[in-house]
Amino acid sequence: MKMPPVDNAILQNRPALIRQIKAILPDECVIVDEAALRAYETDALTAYRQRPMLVALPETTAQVADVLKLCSRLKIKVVPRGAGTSLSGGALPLADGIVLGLGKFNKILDVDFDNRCVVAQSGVTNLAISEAVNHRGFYYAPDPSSQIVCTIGGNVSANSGGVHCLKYGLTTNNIMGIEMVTMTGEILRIGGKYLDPAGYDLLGIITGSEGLLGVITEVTVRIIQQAQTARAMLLGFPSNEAAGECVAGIISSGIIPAGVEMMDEFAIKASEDYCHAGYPVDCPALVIVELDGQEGEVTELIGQVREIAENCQVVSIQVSETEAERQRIWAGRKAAFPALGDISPDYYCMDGVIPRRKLPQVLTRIREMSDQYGLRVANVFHAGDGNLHPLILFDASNPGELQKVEEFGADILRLCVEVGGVLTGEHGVGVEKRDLMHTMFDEQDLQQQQRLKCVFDPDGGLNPGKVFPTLRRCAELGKLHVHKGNIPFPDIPRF
Amino acid sequence: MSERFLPETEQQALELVRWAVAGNKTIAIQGENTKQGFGLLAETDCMVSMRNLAGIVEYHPEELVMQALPGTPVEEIKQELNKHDQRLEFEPLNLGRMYQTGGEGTIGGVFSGNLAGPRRFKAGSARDHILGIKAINGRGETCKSGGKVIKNVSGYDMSKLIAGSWGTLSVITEVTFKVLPAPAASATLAVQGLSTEQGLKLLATVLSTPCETSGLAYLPAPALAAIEPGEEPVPQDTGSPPGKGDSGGSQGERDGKLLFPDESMTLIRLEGTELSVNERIQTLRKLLPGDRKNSILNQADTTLLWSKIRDVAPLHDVHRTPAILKISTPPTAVPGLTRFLDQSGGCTWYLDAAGSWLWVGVCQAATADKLNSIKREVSISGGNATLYRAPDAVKKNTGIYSFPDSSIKNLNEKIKNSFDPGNIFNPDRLYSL
Ligand SMILES: Cc1cc2nc3c(=O)[nH]c(=O)nc-3n(C[C@H](O)[C@H](O)[C@H](O)COP(=O)(O)OP(=O)(O)OC[C@H]3O[C@@H](n4cnc5c(N)ncnc54)[C@H](O)[C@@H]3O)c2cc1C
Repeated sequence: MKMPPVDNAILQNRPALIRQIKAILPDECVIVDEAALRAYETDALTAYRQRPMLVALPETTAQVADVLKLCSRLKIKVVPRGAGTSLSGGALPLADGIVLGLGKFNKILDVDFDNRCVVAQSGVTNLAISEAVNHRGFYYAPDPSSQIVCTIGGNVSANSGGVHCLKYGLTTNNIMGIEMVTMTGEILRIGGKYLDPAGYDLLGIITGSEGLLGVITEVTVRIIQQAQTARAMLLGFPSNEAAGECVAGIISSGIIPAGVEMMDEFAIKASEDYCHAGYPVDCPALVIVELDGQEGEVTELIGQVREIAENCQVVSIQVSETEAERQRIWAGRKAAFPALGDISPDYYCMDGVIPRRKLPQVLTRIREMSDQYGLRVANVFHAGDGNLHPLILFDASNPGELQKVEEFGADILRLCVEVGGVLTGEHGVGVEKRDLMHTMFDEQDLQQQQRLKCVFDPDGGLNPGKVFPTLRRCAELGKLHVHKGNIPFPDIPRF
Repeated sequence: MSERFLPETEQQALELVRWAVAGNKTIAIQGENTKQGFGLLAETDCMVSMRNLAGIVEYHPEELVMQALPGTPVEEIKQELNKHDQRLEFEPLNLGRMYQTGGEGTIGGVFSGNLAGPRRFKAGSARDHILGIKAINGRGETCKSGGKVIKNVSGYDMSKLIAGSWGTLSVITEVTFKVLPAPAASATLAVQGLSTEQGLKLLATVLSTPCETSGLAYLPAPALAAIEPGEEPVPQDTGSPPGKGDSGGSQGERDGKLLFPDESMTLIRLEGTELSVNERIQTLRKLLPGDRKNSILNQADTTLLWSKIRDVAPLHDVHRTPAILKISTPPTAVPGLTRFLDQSGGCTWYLDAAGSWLWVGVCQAATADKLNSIKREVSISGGNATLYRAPDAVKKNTGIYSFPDSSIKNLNEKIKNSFDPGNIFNPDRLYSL
């Protein structure tokens, strides 16, 4: 993976930089020791590693601003980092850059039940927010599987989703405000404890911007009440086609389940061997449907889903009667990743999205590619929203195998785009999918996006080398290229 | 007299913009021109209506995705969705009555205005449902973002910026959005005679139960009285909410009942399966203050009532309330704000979106000073006010938005500049550069 060229002059000035950063931050907030730096050299996409010059762990927004001002002045690149659970290399350090970690921004500042929101520093974990409001029946809806460790600031940067996002929305639909520091050190407060901030949708553009527009220091999130009850159904099908048909049937009947997950044969077997959740291992495809709401309503919906499933050749149905049973049904799905980790030295998790109706076609193609590449693939699928997670199994200690995996992964993502889908549903572009952006966007599309980057970070010092395949200067992007205008458009109707 | 164009293809729209860029000509972009009352309409060199670039391109009900050309009438989209028991979950506000232009306009207009309705606090606004966009920027270049699937983080979410930009960033040539099933039943629980504080407290109580609601509003008596006569829904005392297609009580039942009493109404809308709506109504009724009269509105009346709330019917009368502000506020700031409005006089107001929206109509004496004093009060309490209607001179003085500080305003200007460096699209509509 090609990263922006390393500036040796900056590398050589490392001792001076350390001194200057230590003038802003207490000593214990600056990591320079080689061994300690190792913990920061990668995120959850461990195939890529790079040790940064240093890691700064500021404790206040003012310190963040001072560090950024300094780096801006010295033209030092900055990589923001939350918990480092990015699966696309979004938090991958740069050799001549610093990592700015938000680990010390770990306080919940305000739990405001009356306005139904929580204000948290950006390093607070996703789960901690729900835990802070749980005693009154509230929670923060987006629930990435990494929620125990990933930070709310990271969630905003990645626009993270979770199993419940079909019904309850992604991060972007659940946040109300942020405090953010731009690369030039300007502190911005956008939105707050109210809906619809004035002007253009700044929150909308910052959410999902992968740390390229600013360092988020504080987030105001919306909290909602938990449903009265939730029950899960485990449905086994004779084919992926039948399973896909069932999911389409549920949704077109007007039911929006709290979660709809699908697993293929390989994933089912691996998970069952690993955690014995009682999954029917002879089924080629499984669907988990969670329904929530009022008790009577959920019972009614379960009846409807059962009927739809029966019309789609369902061969096995389990319905949770207790909370423990619901948890068991989910346990198998949640174990899918660790289970595959158990049977293979390494796995690589892809994140494409497809129109759901293309599922059988895509799974067949993936199987064919799997044969061609000689690499095994298991598929788990957020079936409600078409977000496919093929897991490619491999052994990184075999020379050349990682490269083969990357090619296979890229082929899968190209396939997703080809059938009308997109490159990434929730893991982000990062470095991983950066060079595939052209499969979705042409040069003009990308340039307009890069102009937005220029609005926030005109010198491009924040997280460069991520998302965009080509780095461009803002001055060049700003130039107005005048296309010839042919007057007087004889063929355009007037009114 | 500026020239008016009706492009029928994306290519024609592109040619037009390129011609305008080359000649440094300004363009007013519109659909059916139903929302011309929003912002300031400057004199431009030409006008482009997108209403002939119309039609639903793709619709897959089971994928919850629709793709349409910008000029498609909202009415046509609603009809098509209706055939599959689906809807635009964000319930876009119809501005046709507020601006006395009649129609509901085009889907491009709905997204350009980031419109929403009473479901805002639960389902979001247009920006929460937009999935992808194709547009032409002010450089005469196409730029697309997003996709045709309901989950996507590939690149910046530029579609969201274009939603709510009121045609100041680009010409939309195609939009893809999420649609959702329309629930089978709905009903409204109406509680009479609560004070603002009591009403808000009730809304907060409802929101801290697991009973999901999709509309929470509070209308003081003057706002109720201002809804044009002959159209008010009838609260009914008894019975459970009827299901779909039930037109509600007979005329006989309506007779003798006050259409709307001279008291405030706190309104709670429930939607879902019939069984679920009934379950929740029973649960919520137990929470109501015992000393107040409450009633249930059936599905037909619920639909009618909430369309009035959505479309800001209490403030329609342009003679009574020439100026309209929409205040977005933390709900806890509402009592202070409404006290201020009542004391300063001349305002009709009501609350929507669970107390997050305070719609304010300002009477005849709607001077810029008056509006500015309200805006000041709002910014102190931590919210913002958008001017939806006012005489042009007032708009010029007070501005359409209240930006919290100059850095946010700067960012807005830079974003405008990044899309439209020559300031050719709807110049000065939102703020002057
Ligand atoms: C086991 C596992 C399961 C996962 N499951 C899901 C899932 O279900 N759904 C999902 O969406 N994702 C999932 N992820 C991906 C990941 O957890 C999310 O992307 C998460 O939001 C990242 O948060 P983080 O705090 O770890 O951020 P990091 O990984 O540290 O950073 C992510 C990106 O955000 C930037 N960033 C981080 N913090 C800030 C900040 N404060 N200001 C500015 N930029 C910042 C970084 O530069 C980087 O580009 C999973 C990851 C793992 C390892």
